[in-house]
Amino acid sequence: MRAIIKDVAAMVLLVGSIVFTGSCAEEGEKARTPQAQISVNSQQLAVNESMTISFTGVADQVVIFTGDKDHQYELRDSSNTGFVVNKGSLTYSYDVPGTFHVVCIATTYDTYKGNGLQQDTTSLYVVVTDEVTDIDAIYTTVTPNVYYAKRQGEDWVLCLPTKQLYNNREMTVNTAKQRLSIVAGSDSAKVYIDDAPYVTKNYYALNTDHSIKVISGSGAEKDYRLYGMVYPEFLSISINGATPKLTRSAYYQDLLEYEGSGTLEFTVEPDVQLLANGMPVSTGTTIRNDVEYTLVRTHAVNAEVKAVTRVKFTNNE
Amino acid sequence: MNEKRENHAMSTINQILLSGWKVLSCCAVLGLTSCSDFLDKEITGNATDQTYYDTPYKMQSALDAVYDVLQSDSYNDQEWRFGEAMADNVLGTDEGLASQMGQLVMFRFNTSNTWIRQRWEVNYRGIHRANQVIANMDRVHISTTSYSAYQQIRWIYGQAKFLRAFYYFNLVKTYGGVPIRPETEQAEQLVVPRSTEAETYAYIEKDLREAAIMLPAVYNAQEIGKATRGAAIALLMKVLMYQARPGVMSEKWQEVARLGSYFVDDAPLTLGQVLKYDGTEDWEQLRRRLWFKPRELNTDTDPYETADMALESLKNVYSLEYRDYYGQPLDGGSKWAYAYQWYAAGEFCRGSVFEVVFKESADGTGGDTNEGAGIEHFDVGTTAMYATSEILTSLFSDDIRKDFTIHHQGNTPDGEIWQGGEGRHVSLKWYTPKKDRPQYAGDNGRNRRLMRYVEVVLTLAEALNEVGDREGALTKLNICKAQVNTINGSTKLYQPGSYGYVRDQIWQERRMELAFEWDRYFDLVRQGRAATVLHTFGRSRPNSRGLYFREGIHEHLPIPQNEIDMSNGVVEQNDGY
Repeated sequence: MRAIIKDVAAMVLLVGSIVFTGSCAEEGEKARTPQAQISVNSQQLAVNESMTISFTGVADQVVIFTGDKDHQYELRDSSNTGFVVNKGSLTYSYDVPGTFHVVCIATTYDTYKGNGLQQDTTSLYVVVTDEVTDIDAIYTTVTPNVYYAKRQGEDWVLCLPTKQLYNNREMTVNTAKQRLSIVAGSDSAKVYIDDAPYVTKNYYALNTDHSIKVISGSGAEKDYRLYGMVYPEFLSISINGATPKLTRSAYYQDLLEYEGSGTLEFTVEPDVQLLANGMPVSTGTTIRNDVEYTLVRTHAVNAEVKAVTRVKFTNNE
Repeated sequence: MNEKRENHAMSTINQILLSGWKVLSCCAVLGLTSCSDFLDKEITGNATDQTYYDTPYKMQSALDAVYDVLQSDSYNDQEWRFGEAMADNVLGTDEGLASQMGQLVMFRFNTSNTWIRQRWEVNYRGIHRANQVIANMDRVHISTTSYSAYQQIRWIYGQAKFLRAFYYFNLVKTYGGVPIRPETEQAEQLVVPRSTEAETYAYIEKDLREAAIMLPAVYNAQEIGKATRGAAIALLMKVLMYQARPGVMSEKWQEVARLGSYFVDDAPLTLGQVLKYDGTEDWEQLRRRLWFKPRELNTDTDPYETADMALESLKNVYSLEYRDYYGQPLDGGSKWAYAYQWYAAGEFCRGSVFEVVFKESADGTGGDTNEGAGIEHFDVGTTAMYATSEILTSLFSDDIRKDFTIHHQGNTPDGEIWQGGEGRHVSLKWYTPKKDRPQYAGDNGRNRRLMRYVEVVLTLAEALNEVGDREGALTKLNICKAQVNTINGSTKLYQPGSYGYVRDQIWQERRMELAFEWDRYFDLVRQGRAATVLHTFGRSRPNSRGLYFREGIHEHLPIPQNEIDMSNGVVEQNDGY
C-alpha cells in the first residue's frame, strides 16, 4: 500500500514539474521590434477642437509629444513632457493657433527585467487655425453702471443716458467721450474701430456710429456697425403750465418719472417722438393713466435702430 | 506460511475495500436522486436582497448608508480640492506639476487624474446606495395603517431622493451630463451612456421637487441633522440657478425667485407648484407612489394633501441672526458669534440649512474613515491651503469679516496661537475650538456646513435682479449686509444702480460671506467668469496658477479615463480633452 502511494506520488511530482516548467516558458520573452504608426482624424483643427490620435503600430508603451508649449519633443531633455497613450488612442486639443509637430515614440522591451529597450519614432504636423471673428460683448462703464450694447442683427446698438443717479446724486454722462470695451470671441483676433486699432484706453464718441472690423488670427475678416444712441429726454416740459418735478431711477437708467397730471406741453429734438402705447402724442394733450408713455429716438439712416426712454406720470394727489 | 497469511490479509483488505466501494456507490446513486429536495430548502432567517427591505428600521439603516458616503474621508478629502483649491481665494502648499493635486489646480491635468476619478467614484457610490433605498421602497411592509407610519417611510424616501439629487448635482456641475444609473442595476446593462446636461438636471430637479413635498420642515431633537424640506428647496434653488446664466432671461430665474419668496418671504406655494404638476399623472397615484397615506385608508383626522394645498410655512425655521439651535445668541452675543456659527455651539443653528453630521467615535481607535478627520486645514502640518494678506485685501477690503481670519502667530477667539507659517492666513471657519476638540487623534466630530440660510437669501437676491426686480434684489442684499453690520455697528449698505451694478454687489457679498466654504470654484464657473477671474489671479502668481484655465473647455472637467476605457467608448469624453 505504502509503496503504491509512494510510486503514485513520485509520478505526480515528476509529471507536474514538467508541466509547470513548461508553462513558465512564456517568461523572459525577447522584445518585439517596435513600429511607430499613428493616424489622426484631422490635421486641420480649430482652437479647442479635439483631435483623436490612434496608434496602429507595435509597441509595449506609446508616448506622444503634442508639440505645444511644454510638450515639445525637441525639448524633451528640458522638462517638456509627453502623454502616455492608453488603449491605443489619445484625444487632445490646442488652445493657441499655430503649426505643431506631433511626435510618437513606440517602445518595446523584454518582458523579463525590461532589458533590450528599443524605440521607434514617427511624426506628423497638425495645423490649428483660429477663424473666430465673433464679438461676444460691447459695453462701456460709467461708474457705477455698465451699459451693454444690444445685438441687432449683425449690428450693435449702445444706448446711454445724459444723466445717471448714483449715491442719490445726479451725475452727467458725457456721451461724446467714453471708453469702450469690446470683447472679441478669441484672444488672437484683432479689432479695429473706424479703421484704427481698438485701444481700451482710448475715448470714443458714443453718441454717433462707428464701424468695427474684426480680423481673426488666420486672417478672416468681419464687419460690424456700432450705433451709439442717447436716451431721449424732453427739451422742455410743462404740466398745467408748471415745470414738473423729475425723479430719475437709480435702478433703471431709461426711466423718467414726472410728478403731475393734467395738460402736457413739451418740445423734443427732431428725431424724437413721444408715444402712448405706440401711438404718437402731440403737445397739448391730457395725461392719461391707462397708457404707457415712451420717448423714442429713431436713427436718421437706419430706422430699425431706436433708443427708448420710458416716461411715467405720477399723480401727486 | 507467511506468504499465505499475507495473501489472505491482502484479499481481506481488498474485499473490504471492494465492499466499501459498493456501499459508497449505492449511497451516491441514492443520494444524487434525493439530495435536491434536501438541499434546496428556502433560507429562512438570512437576509437576501429580496427580503431585506421589509421594515422601516432596515430602510433607515439603508438610508444611513447613504448619509455615510457624505461622512467618508474619500468624499470630504476631494471636496475642498475642487471647490476651494482650484479657485482664487487660497494658495496651496502643493501646486507643483509633479503631483496629481498640483496638476489639478494648475489646470495641467490629464484625463487620468486621480482626484477627478475619486470625485466621480465617491459620488456614484452615494448614488448607488441611494438607489438601493429608492428601488426597494415597494418592499416595505408597515404594521399599522396610521398616518405616522406612512410618514416615517415617506421621510426616508424623501431623504434618499434628496441625497441622490445632491450627489448627481456634484457630478453634473463638475463633468456636465453624466450617466444616469438605473435604480435597479442589471448585470447585462452595466454600461450606461451619458445623458445630456439638460437631462441630468431634469432628473435632479424631479427628485428635489418630490423630496420638497415629502419631507418635513423640521425634525424633532432626536432626528436633527436629517434633510428637511428647507434643504430640498434650497438645493433646488441652487440647481436652478446653476442652469440659468446671468444676464440671460429664463424661466429658471423666475422659478428661483418664486421658490425663494416662499422660503424667505413666506409667500404661498402649493404642492402642485413645487412639483410642477400638470395632471399627466393621476394625483392619487402620485400620492401612493410617494408614500402618502392612500385616500381610502384616511380617517377623519388624517390630512389629505391636494395639489392646491399650500406648503407649510418656513417662516420661523431659519434666521440670519447669529443664534444657536435654541435661539440663544452665540457666544453670548460677542463679536465672535459670527465665527461660532461653524463651531459645535452653532450646530444645527438657525442659519444652517444642511450639514454633514460627524460624530467622534470617542473610543480611541484610529483608522475610522467617516469622522471628518483631515478637513481641518488649520493645524500646522495639515495646512494644505492658506490665504495671503493680498488675497484677503482683495477679498474683503475693509469689511469686518476680514477679522475672522487668522495670521501666523495670531490668536483664535479662545486663546490658541496659530503657528502656520510667515505670511499665511487661514479662516476661522476651519478651526475647532479647544473645548470641541476630540479626545483622540483621527476623530473630529465637528459638522461641516453644506448649505446656509444666508446663501439662500443671496440666491434670491440674484434671481430678483435677473427677473427685473432690482429694488427687491437690493432689499434682500441689504438684509444680509445689515446682519453683518451688527458685528461692528457699521451702517454701510449697498447702493442702487443698474442691473450690472446690483449684480456685481451681490456677487461681491456672496464672495465675502461664503469665503472659504469650499464652493468658490463652482460659483465662478456658473457665473461664467471663471476664465476672467482665474486669468487675473494667475497673472499675479509666480507659478501662473489659473492662467492655464481654458475658457470653454475647463468649465467641465474630463470624464475619468478609466470610465471611458471600461465602457469601450460608450461613455464619451467632453470636448477639448
